[in-house]
Amino acid sequence: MTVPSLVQDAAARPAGRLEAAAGSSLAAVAPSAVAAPPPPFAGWSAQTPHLVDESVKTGRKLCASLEEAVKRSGLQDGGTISFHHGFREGDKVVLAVVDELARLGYKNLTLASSSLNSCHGRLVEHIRAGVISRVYTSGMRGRLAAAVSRGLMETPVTVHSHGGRIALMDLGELRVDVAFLGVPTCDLFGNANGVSGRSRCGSLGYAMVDAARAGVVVAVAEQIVPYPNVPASILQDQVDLVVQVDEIGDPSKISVGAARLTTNPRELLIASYAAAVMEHSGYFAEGFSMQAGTGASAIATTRYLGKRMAELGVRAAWGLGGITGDMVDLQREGLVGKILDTQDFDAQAAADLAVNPDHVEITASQYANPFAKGAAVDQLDMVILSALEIDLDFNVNVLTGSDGIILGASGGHCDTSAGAKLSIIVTPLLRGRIPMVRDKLTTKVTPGETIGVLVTDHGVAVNPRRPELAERLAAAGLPVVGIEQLYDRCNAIAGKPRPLEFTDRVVGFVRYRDGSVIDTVYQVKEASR
Amino acid sequence: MTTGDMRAAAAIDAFLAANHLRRDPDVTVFAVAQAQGRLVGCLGLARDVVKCAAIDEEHRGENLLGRLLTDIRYQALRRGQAHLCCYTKPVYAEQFTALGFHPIAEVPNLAVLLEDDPHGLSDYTASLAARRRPGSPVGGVVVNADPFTLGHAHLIEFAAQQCAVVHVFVVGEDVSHFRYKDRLAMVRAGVAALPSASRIVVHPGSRYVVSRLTFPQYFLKEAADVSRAYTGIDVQLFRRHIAPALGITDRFVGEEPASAITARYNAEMADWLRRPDIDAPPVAFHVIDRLGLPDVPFISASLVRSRLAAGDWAGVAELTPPTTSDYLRRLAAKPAKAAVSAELAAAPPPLTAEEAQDIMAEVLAEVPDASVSDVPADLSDAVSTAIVADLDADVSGLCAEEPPAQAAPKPKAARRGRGGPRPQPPAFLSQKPLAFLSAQLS
Amino acid sequence: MDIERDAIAGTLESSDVLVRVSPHPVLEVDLTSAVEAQYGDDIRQLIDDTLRRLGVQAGRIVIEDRGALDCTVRARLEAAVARSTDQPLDYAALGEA
Repeated sequence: MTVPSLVQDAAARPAGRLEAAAGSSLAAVAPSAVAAPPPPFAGWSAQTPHLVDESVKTGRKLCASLEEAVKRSGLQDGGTISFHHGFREGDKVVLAVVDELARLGYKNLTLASSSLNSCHGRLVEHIRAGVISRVYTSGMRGRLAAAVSRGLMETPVTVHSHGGRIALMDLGELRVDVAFLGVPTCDLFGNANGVSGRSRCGSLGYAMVDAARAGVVVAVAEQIVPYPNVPASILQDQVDLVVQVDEIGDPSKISVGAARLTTNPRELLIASYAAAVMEHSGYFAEGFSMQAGTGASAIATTRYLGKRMAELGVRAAWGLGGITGDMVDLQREGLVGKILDTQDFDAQAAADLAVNPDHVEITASQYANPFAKGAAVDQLDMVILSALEIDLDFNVNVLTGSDGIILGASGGHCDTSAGAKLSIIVTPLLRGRIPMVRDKLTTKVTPGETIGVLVTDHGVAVNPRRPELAERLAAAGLPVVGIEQLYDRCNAIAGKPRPLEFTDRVVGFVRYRDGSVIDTVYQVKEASR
Repeated sequence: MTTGDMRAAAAIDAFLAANHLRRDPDVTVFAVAQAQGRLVGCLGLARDVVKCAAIDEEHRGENLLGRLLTDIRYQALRRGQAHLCCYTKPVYAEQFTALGFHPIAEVPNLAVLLEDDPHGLSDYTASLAARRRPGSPVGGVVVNADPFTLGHAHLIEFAAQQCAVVHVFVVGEDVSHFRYKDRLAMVRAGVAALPSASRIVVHPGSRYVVSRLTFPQYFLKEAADVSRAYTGIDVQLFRRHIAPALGITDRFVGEEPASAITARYNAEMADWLRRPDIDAPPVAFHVIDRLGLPDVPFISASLVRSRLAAGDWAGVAELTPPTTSDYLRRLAAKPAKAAVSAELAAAPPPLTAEEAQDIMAEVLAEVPDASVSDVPADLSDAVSTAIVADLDADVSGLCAEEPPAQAAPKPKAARRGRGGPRPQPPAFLSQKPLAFLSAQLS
Repeated sequence: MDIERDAIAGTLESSDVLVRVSPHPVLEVDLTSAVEAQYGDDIRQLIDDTLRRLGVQAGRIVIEDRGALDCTVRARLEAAVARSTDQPLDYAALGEA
C-alpha cells in the first residue's frame, strides 16, 4: 500500500474495519498511530464480533443486491466510483451500477473508469440527469464521446494514460471511494480472477490497481464459486463486499476472435517497413523486448517480425501488452520468453494466461505507473503504436478524430513512448482523404521527444533527435524521408483540409502521465451548412 | 428456374434464415459476397426495391453492404431503374443512410422506407400539387382495381358526391393478375363514365402509394407486424406528403366484411389518419358499404376473375361497368399475349433452413478446393462479390387479396430432382475467392 | 454536353465516389461527403469546374463521396456524364488546366 491511502478518510469505510493495509499490524504502521496503551484481553471476539455467528463469519461480504452493496459501501453524493475496462465493448458493469445509483437518487458522482467505450453511450442520460458530474477516463467513443465533444458536461473530463491514472491516484487527486470491479468468478470472500467463468477477459491488470487503492472494494461477480477461488488476482484481503449480477459482460464482445491478418496491401506494406525498422533499429538482438498494439498494421508487423526472428535466430526475452494471440503464438514458437500481461484483447490470449506459467498477469501500476518503484515500460526496448495525427515535431494525437470529436484513448501510448528505447508509430499517410501529418495537431497526447520513428506507406521519418538511427535505417534500404516531405506529400495528394473550428469552451483536459496538463480539448463548433 | 438457380436460391435462403430473414419471392436479382467458398453477404433487388440485406457477423464493419449496393445499383440501372427504395428494420436505417438513402417514412421499431433519390418524394408531391383543384372537401381513394368493378365505381362515385373533387390513385405494381397499364386504363375508362366524372382526377401509380401485395415481409415475423408496418408506412406517406399536396381532407375505403385482415388494415389506417403525433393535418376516414346484388352479397374483383376464368361473360358483365367488360373482351381477343395469367412461372417457394442446408452440403461437396498456391496462404480470406441474377420471380403467392401466407413446403423428393444428370454448381460458388485479390495485385 | 439518360459511375468503396446523373431541365448538384467538414467546399468547386468544362448546363447530379481524391471525383464525374449520352467527350476541352 502506498502512503496516501493510509490517511484516507476512515469515515468512508463501514464501521468495524480495523486494518488499514493488507497484512500489517497496528504497531507496525506507526507507533504514533496507537494513541493509548493496548487494552487488556476482553474475550476472543471482543474486537472481531463478526466471527461469532457462523454464517456472518463466512458470508459477511455477500450482498443480496446491488442496492445492498451500494448502501453498505457508504457511498455519498459527490463521491468517486471506479470501474475497470477489461471487458471493453462487452462491458455491462458500468451501466448496471450507474443505473442502480441513479435509481437510488445519487447525484454529482465522479466516474473514474479506467476507460470507456461505445457501449457506454447511455451514460449521456445519467450525466444530463446530474447523477454523474465528473469523469476521469483514458478515452471514450461513440455517442458518449460525441456528446462530450459537443459540450455535454459542465466540468471538463479528465483524460489520462493508463500509467497516468495511477499517478493521479498516488498524487491524491483521484481518490476512489468505491470501486465496483466486475469479475467473471469470485468466491464469497472476494478472491477473483479473470481467467475462469463465462465472461472471462483474461488479465485484470486495471482492476487490481483499484482493488489495492480504493476506499471500498465491491466485487461485482457473474458467478460465485466455492472458496477459495485461487489463484486470485483480486484478493480476499482487498475486497469489502461481494455481489452477484446476471451479466458482467457480453462474451462475444469482450474477447473477440483472434484478429485475422489483414489482406490490405497497403497495411501489409506499412507492416513490412515497420518490421524492417525494428530489425535494423540497433535493438534487435537476442534477448530484446517488444510491445505491439492491436491495429491491423501492428498485428501484421508482429507476424513479419516473427518470421525474421525465426530466420535469424533472434529471440525476444519478453513481450509486453495489451496481449493478442499473435504474441502468444510467437511464444509458442519459442521466439518470446515471457509475456507480461496487463490486458488481453482476444480469447486466445485470455485462455493462454490461464494455463501458461510464462505468461504472467501484471497490474497497470507494474505496467506503466511513472511513480512506481518499477514499471515494465521502463525496461522495454521497442513498442509499436498507432496515431490519429502526428505533427512536424512528432507530437502525436490518439484522442480526437479528423472532425474534432473524441474517438480514441490515451491508453498506454505516452507511457510506452516514454519508457521504451524506441517507439515506432505505424499509420497510413492518408486515411481515406484525411492526412495524418499535420502542421498543427487537434490534440496533443504524446510529446514528440519520446517518439522515435514514423512509418507510413509513403516512407519512414525518423525523429531528428536520432540521426544515427536515421543513418542505420537508410543504410538498410528503408525509404527514409524527412517528416516535412511526408507533410508536403499529404497535402499534394489530398489537398489542404479546412481547419476545424472550435468554440472557447473546454470539454476536456489531457493529462500527461506525470499529471501535468499537456493539452486541452475544446468544444467542436457545429457546421452552419 | 434452372436447377443451378435453384441451388443458388437455396444457398441464399439458408444464409438469410441464419440471419433471421426470409427471401421475399419477388426478388429477381441478388448481389452476393463470398469468402472461402461460403456466402457472407447478400442484397436483393425486386424491381426498384432493395431488400433482403444480410451480412455475416464476422464481416460487419467492412463496408460489405456498400460493395453489394454498388453492384445492385448497376444491375438496377441495366433493368431501367435509376432510383431505388429500400424497406428494412429501423436499426439499419443508419447504414443505408450512409450509402446514399434518405428515410421517408418510418414505423418506430418496426419498419422504415428509404429512397436514394434526394428529390424523389419532393418531385412527386410537386407533380401532384400541379394537379390540385380548388374546393373543399377533397377526397382520396386508393384502388388496385384488378379489374375495375361496379364496386369500385360505386365507391368512387359515392366519394365524388360528398366532395368538391376526388383524387383516385391506382396502385402501380405489375404483380396483380392484370398488368398495371390495363388496370389504369380500365380505371380511367370507368371513371370517365361516372356521373361525377368531372370532379374526379385519376393519378397513375407511384412508389409512394404502396402496394400491399408487394410490401416486403422478409424482415417481419408476424402477420400482424406486416399489417402494422405496411399501413404505417403507406398511410404516413399519404397523410404527410400526398394529402397536403392535393389538399385531401377525406379518405374513402370500401368495407371488407369477409376479410379480417383487410378489416384490420382499415382500423389501423383510421388510426394513422387521425393520430395527433403526426406533423400533418388529420384526414377524415370513411368506410363505405360494399355494393351488393340480389344474388351476390358484395361485388369483388376476385369474383370477376373467377367468372372470367370460367368464361362466364354474362356473369362478368353483371359485376362490372360496360367500359370494363368491353376492355376485357378486347384483351381476351388478343392472340399472342395472355392478359390474364392463370398460371405463373412454377418457381418453388422459399425452402426451410434445413432443406436449404441439405442442398448446400450437396453442392459444396462438388466444388473443388480453391487452389491458393499462387498466393500466400494467409491472404486467403478476401471477399469477392458476384451477381446471381434472373431468378424467376415467384409471384403466385402475391395475387390474392390476402397477404401472402407462407406456402407449405413441397415434399422433398419433388424438389431434389434426383435421377437426372448432376447439375453444375451455380457459377458464384465455383468462382475462386482469390479472383478478386489476384486481380488487384496484377 | 447534354445528359440524355440516367447513368452511374463509381462505387461506394472507401476513397471512391458514386456519381449518378439524370436528365433534368436545370442543373442541380447534390453532394454528400464523408469529409464534408474538411473538403466539402473544395469538392463542390471541383464538381462545378468539371461540369463547366464538360459543357453540362442541365441535369441532376447526385454524388456520394466516401473520401475520394480530386482525381477520382473528376474521373467518375466525367465517366457518368459520358455514359449518359452518345455524344463524344471533348478531350481537348477537358485537358485544359
